Amino acid sequence: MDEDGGSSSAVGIEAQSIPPRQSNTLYLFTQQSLPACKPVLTPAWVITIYFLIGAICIPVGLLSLDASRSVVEITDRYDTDCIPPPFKSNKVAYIKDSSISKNCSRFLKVPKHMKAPIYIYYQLDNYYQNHRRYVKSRSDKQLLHGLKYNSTSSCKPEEYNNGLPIVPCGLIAWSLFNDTYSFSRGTAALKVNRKDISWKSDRDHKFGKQVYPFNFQNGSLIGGGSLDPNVPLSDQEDLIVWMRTAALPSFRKLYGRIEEDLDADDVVVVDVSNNYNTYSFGGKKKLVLSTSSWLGGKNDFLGMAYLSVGSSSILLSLIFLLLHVKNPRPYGDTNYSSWNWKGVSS
Amino acid sequence: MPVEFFRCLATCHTVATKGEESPETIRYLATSPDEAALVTAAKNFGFFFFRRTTTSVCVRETNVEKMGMFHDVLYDILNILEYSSSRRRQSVICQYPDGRLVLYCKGADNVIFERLADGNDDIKTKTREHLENFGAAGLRTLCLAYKDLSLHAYKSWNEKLIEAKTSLKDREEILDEVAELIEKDLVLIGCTAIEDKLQAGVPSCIETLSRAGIKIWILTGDKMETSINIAYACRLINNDMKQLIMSSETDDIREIESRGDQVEIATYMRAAVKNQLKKLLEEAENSQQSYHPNLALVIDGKCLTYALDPSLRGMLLNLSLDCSSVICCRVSPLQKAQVTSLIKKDAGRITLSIGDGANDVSMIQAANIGVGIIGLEGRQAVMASDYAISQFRFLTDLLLVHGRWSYLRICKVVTYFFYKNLVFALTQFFYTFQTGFSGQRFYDDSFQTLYNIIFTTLPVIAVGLFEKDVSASLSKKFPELYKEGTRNTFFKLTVWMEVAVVSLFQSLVVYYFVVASSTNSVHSSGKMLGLWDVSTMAFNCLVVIVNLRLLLMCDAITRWHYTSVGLGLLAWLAYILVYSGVYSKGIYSAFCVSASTAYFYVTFLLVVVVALLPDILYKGVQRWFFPLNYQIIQECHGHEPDQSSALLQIRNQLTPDEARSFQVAQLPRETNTGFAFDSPGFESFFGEKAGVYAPQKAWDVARRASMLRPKPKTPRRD
Repeated sequence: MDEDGGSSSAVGIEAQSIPPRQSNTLYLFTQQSLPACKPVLTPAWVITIYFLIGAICIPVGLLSLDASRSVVEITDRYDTDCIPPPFKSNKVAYIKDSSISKNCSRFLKVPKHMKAPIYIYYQLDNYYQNHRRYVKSRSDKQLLHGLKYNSTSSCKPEEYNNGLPIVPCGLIAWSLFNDTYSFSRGTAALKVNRKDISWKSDRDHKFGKQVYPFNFQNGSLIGGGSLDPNVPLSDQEDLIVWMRTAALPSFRKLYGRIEEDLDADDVVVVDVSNNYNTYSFGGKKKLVLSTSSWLGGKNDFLGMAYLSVGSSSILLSLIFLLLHVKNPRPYGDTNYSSWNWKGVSS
Repeated sequence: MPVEFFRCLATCHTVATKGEESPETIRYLATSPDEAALVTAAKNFGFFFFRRTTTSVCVRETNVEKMGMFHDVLYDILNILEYSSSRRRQSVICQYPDGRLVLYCKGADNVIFERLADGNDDIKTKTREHLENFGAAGLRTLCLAYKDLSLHAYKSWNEKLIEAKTSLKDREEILDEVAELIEKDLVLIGCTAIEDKLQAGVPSCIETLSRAGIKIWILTGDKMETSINIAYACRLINNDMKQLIMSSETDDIREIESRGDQVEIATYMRAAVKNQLKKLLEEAENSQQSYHPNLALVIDGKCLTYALDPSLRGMLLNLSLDCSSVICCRVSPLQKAQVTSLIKKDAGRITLSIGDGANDVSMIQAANIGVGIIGLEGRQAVMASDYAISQFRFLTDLLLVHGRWSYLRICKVVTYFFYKNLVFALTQFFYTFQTGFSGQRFYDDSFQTLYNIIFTTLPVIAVGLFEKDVSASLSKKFPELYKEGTRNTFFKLTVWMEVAVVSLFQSLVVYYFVVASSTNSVHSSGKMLGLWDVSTMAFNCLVVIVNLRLLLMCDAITRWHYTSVGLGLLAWLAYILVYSGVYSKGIYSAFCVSASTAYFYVTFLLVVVVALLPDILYKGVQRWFFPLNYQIIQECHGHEPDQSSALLQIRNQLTPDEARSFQVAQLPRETNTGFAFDSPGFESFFGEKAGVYAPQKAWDVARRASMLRPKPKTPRRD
C-alpha cells in the first residue's frame, strides 16, 4: 500500500553516533529499522480493493455461470422403480435372489439438444466410500505389483480367500459397482464408449499392466462386480474409477460416453441391469446423463458465488464511496483518539 | 576544629588508592562514589590521603601556619568499625604519631546526633540548620564527629572487641553492641553535603513514563527533604500537587524516642501511623470527590515499618493507589522489597524496579521486571536484574519502544498461531461429520505434520522479529500508546473471539467451497475427483489463505515477510509436486490431476477472495469508524521521512573527513556519571568490595557548564 523506504530507529544522539560498522543490512536488522512497507487500510484503499474485487469477480462469475448453464443434465433415480411390485416390501430379498432377472428399462426424455460427448454417470447416495476403514482397505503396492507383493494386511478382511491371496484385495475392490447400462434411441442402439473414463495417471502408474485379477470375488460373500481375469488391472477402467474413492457419501462416477448428439425430445431407452445392492443400507442409485463444459459438469454454485461476491463488493464499495464523499473522516483525525491531544501533537 | 573535620574525612573511610602518589594523578577506588568524593574534597583542602597500608593511612597535610609547607603524617588505624545499613555510620580509631588516640565517626545525621556528648549546643543547632538547608537543596548529608580516647579506656574496650570478633554466635550483633560502647559521647565536628546529580534526561524520562500511564514510586535511602527535592527535580511532584506527608520526625515521637523505651516507642508509633493513615485516606477520598489536583504521598522508613504491618497494609495500599506519585524515603533494602511485593501481590499490578546499587538488589528481585543501571555503584544490581541499561533515561526506550513492540509481537504471534491451527483443525472437524464419524482424515498425514513445521512457520517468525506498528521515535513521542499494553488491547477476550470467528468463517469457506467440487465433474473430459484430489485442493487454499492473512495483519512488511511467505508457499508447492509424484499412495498425482483442471483455479480464486474479504472489511471499517490510537498516529505521521534513514543517506554522501568530524561532534557531550536519580551512596559504602572507579572531578563546575552548550546540528551538504 503505502511504500516508504526505511523506518525510524531510536532517535537522538545515541542512535546516530553508532556508525554502521557491519554491513548495512545487518546494521538495519539489528537496529530494527529495516525498510518496510507500512500498509494503512484507509477508506480509499478499502473502496478501491472492493471495487477491484467486484470488477474481477463479476466477469468470472458470468463466465462460470454461462459454462454451467450450457450443460444439459438428465438425472434418473432408478433403485426403487426397478423393483418389481411384488418385491417392493422386501427389496433386500429381491436383490439377493440371483434367480430373478434384474433387468429393467428406463425411458429418459431429452429436454434440450445434447452435444456429444454425453457422459454417463452413476450416482450413489448415502454410500460412505470415505469411511476410515473402507478407505484404507486396499493395497496400492499390490495393485501395481500384483502377487509379487504380499504384505497386504491393510486389506483385511478381504485379504485371503481359501488360503490364497486376492488380487485386487480389500473392501473397495470387493464392493465394485456392477450395475450395467445399455442405451438405445428408437430402434437404434446408442454406442457407449467405456474407454478413457479414468485419469491417465491412475492407469499408467497405479494399476499394473502385468497384474491380472486372481481369486477375486470367489468367497461366500459377494460384495459386487467381478473382473475378467484375462484383462490386466490397468485396463479394468471400472475398477480404476471405483477405486479413486470419493470424498463425500454422495458421489458420482463416470460410466462411459455416448458419442452421438441427442436432440431435444428424443427418448432414450436405458436397459439397466440392477445388480448392486444398495437396499440393505438405504442407499440411492441414480443414472446421470450430462454434457460437459470447460468447467466440467453442471455447477451453478461457482458462478452464483462469484456473482454474489462480486456484486456485494461493488455494492459495498459504492456505499463506502458515498459515505466517504458525504462524510469523510479526516486522515489522522486526532479527535478520535482516546486521550487529550492538546499539547501532545506536534 | 576545621583540622579535625578534614582529618576525619581523610582517615575515616575505606578508600584504596591507585596510581602515582601525587595529587594530580592519584585515583581513588571506593565502593561508593560518595566516599571517593569526600576523600577528594579533603585532598583539595590540603589533606591529601595518598597511601594505605594494612595498619595505617598516610596523609600529606599542608601546614596551616606556614603557607606552602607540608608534611606527611602517618596515622595508625587501630580499628575500623564498618558501615552497615542498620548502623548507618562508620568509625575508625586512629593513633597520631604523637600517641594521641582519636575515634572518628561519620554517619547519618540522626544516628550521630543520638550519640553526641552533652554541651556544645551552639554547634549542634548550627549544624542542624545546615543539615536542613542542605536537605532542602536536594543534597545528601553526613555528619562527622570525633572523640578523644584515653589509652586505658581504649585498651579495655579493645579486649571486648577482640572477644566479640572471635565469638561464634551472633557475631554481627555482638560487634554492633561493642561498637555502641565506644561510639558515644562524641563531639560534633560538622556535616558534609554531596550533590547527587540527576542523570541527564531523568526528568523528561519520568514525565514521559507517567504520560504512558506508568505510576512511579521513589524508594530511596535519602532523607525526606532530599527525596522531596529530587522528586521535584524529576517532576514527580509539582506545586499543583497536594503532598500527603507521613513522617516520624515529629516532636512527640522524638520526645518518646528520647526516653528510650523500645516497647513504648513501638506502641506509640503503631497508633500514630494508624491515625495518620486514616486521616490521610479520608483526605485523599475527599480530594478525589472534589476533583482536587493530584496527590503525592511521602512516607519515611520508620512509618513504613509500621504501615507495612498486615493490619495496616490494606490502608496503605488504598492510600498509595489514590496518589499519583509515592515517595518512600529512608527505607532499608528490605523495605524496598516489601513495598514492591505489596504492589505486586496485594494490588496485583505489574511492577518494574530499577536501581543501580547493591541495596536495590532485593527490590529488583522482588519485582516482576528488574532493571539494573550499569554505573559507578557496582555490578550487583546489574547481576540481579532482568535487563541492564546504562542510563536511567533509556528506560523510555526499554519500555515504550522495545517493550511495546515486544508486547505487540507476542500478541500477534500467539493469536496467529491460534488462528492458523483453528482454521486447519476446523476443516478436519467438518469433514468428520461426512465420514460417518469414522475419523477418516481429510488431509494426508504428512500435510498435517508439515503444516506447522514448514508451510506456515517462517512468516510468523518474521512477524515476531520485525513487526512494529509505529516507529521508535513515534512511540516515544506519544507515550500514551503504551496504555494499549496496560489495558491489554491486543490480547483480551474480545480479540480471541474475533480470531475464533474469523477462523470459523475461513474454515467453513475453505471446506465447503472446495468440497462442492466433488459432487460433479470438474473437467471437460467428465472425469471425477477423488477424496485426495479434493483434500489437496483444500489444503492448497488453506496454506495460501493462512499466509496471505499474515501479510494482512502486519503493520510493517519487510522484505523478510515477503521472502518467508514466498518460501513457505514454494516449499508447499515443491513438496506436493515431489510427494504426489514419487510416492504411490492415495495421494499419488492428486495435485497434478486437480491442477490440470480450470475448475481448480476458479475455485482457488473464489475461496481466497471470500475468505479474506471480510478480514479486509473488518479492518477497514474498524480503522474508519473506530480507530485505535496507534492507527491515528500511523495516519498522522506514517509519511514523515524518518530521521535515521535520512541520516544514513547523508552519511553516504559525506567524505571520510566530514564523516569523522561529524561523528566526533555526535559523541555525547557529557560523560555519563553513572548515577541514577536514586543513588543510595551512603548505604552502599560496603555493599561491594570490588574496586569501582570514581570520577576525579565528578561534579566540577566546568563540566556542568559544558552541558548547557547547545547540541550540535546535523551537518548538511548542499
